[in-house]
Amino acid sequence: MNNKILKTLTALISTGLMAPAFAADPQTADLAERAARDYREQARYPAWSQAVALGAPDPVQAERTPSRQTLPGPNGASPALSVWSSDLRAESGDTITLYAEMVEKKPKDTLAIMLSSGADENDAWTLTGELVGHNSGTLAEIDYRDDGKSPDEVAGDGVYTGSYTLPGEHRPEMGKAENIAVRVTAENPQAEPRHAVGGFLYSHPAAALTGRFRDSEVDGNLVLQAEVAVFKAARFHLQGTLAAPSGQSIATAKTSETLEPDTHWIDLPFYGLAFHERGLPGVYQLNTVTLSTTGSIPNALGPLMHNAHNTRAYGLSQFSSQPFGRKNLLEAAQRLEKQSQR
Amino acid sequence: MRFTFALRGIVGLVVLLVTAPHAFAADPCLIFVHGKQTNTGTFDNWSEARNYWVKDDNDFIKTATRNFQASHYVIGYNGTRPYWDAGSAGEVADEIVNATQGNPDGGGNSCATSHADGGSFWVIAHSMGGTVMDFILGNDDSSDPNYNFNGPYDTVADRITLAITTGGAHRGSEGADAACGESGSGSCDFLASFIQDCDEATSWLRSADDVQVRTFSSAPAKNVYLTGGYEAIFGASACLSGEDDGIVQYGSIFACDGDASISYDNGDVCGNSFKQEQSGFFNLDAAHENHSDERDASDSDTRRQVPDGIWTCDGSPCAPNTQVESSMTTAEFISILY
Repeated sequence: MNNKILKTLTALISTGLMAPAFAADPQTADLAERAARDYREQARYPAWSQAVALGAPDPVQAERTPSRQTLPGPNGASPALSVWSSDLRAESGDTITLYAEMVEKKPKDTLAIMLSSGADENDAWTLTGELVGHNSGTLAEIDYRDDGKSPDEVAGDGVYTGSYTLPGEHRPEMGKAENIAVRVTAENPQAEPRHAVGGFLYSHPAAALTGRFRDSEVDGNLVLQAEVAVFKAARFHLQGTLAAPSGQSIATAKTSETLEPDTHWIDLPFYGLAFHERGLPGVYQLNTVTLSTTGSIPNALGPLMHNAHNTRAYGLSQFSSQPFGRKNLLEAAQRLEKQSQR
Repeated sequence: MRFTFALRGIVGLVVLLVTAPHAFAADPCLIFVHGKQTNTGTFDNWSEARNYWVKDDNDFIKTATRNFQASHYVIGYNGTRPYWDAGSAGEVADEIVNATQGNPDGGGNSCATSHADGGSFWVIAHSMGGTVMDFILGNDDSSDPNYNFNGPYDTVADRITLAITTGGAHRGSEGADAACGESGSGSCDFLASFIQDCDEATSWLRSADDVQVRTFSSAPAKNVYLTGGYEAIFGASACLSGEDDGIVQYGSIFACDGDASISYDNGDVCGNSFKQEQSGFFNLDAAHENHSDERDASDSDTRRQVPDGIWTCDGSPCAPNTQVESSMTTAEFISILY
């Protein structure tokens, strides 16, 4: 097909016919000025603790929420196969639940319409999965089911479910993790295939949170301390989110330390200004907290603990109301302001 | 880049004395970071890294720097390696630091003003180059999970002013999923052949959570500004969700939170408050360019506003999906941002 025709065709498809008319004399805002303003705002908090915007989700939870991977059939044919897992990570002996769903996908080009076979998400699809370790090779082949029998929860709801218990013999070295790809194939009675690939981490952290926490005010910040049991010397990363009793996230914090085998307390300071800005004195809830073993990639992620601790009651006057003044951001803002075009 | 600093110095001096146009000290120095490669050519040979940004008579770097009025530096790294590898993130970090010291790249180009003398540095990254920058800028502080993992990430974050990504694979690519997922016959294979195969770099650009850069990074220490294309590659785009540039879908180009395979368009792509990290990612706009056009300035085409984008109409932000330019490449777009 002629390139120009193809280009026009795809342009029409991708922009749509209902796009707003060409605007009169649009201008770009001053990027340097915008960036400088944003850096001055960000500089009020240290790199190790940030306020969470009002109404925004818990950032630690958001990064640990499994997402779907979706691929259509040949030439974009519907339905697409969408796959996800119950967690981003699992450890030896854990059972990870794997999900799949056939979802309608609107065709994006004429070829997909022309080649459509009439396959439907409601066909009787048969789904199988292959779990492949980056180092271990094929670990298992599993069947997905939608009959309401374990691990499937509801028969006929269109969500196919499989599960896999991670075997000890393929356990990664302590302190490390392995990428496990989940390759899923769906086939309808007409033997039309769909493929998608998801994944999770087979993790073997070198330390664990014991579940003991304590808190105090230090230098105008709320310092949460987490007890960790270290099994092997490594670098560890601790992060968490504090929330109001209503569950509304207030601030996140992160820290890293290299530790020897033993039981340790790790400090996780939350910057005081966050509590002032939200105007919420009182008891705070450690909404989410997790400890990972770093030092190699993929990191050996630890489990995400929810509502692990309630702090004692604090008054706002105990916390600093002063901006942190992050030096490198303020310096970048100054340079940008000199460069600002308008 | 496998050049000795002595050789770089000589080449740089010759180029400066003989050919270099006069760079304006007030302009930022633009540092270019290419995307995924199927061989090590751009790492072994600087000219290949430079040519990444050229197609026929069209030169992205020449246009973005306003005919070299702004100074620039071109980075070559091993684009066959995962984004976090020493050959990719480590090499890019080393070279950015070199650029900010005023030292020349493999072709003798150097930033007009060093960081010590008050220079400003904008990183322009295409495709996987965006993922590499996310990793570096998200691991620059000692509180980060992979602090200075294989290079001076802290120095990079201190010295650069901002980054702009064009067609950035921030959440991976569904094209990589197709290449690594034993995709069936048809046009998804065409897409897979464009990416070629499921090598290490591709495998780490899948959409699965266990390989995502956000799983191994914090929010970027310096702002990352996002632009990308919505010109389909016929057939290949059919395999991608929503608008796309033929290789990377909008959910990834615009670093969206949630599922990377949500179907977005110019009117509804995620705004600045729904990004893969808590802060640091900002929308610019979208262009009717495909994944190649985004880095070689070969297709001067329409541009559209996206939610929270950079364009203003009569003093207010233009409505999402408003056509803001009828003929402008991404290189030209960058040239009007400073």
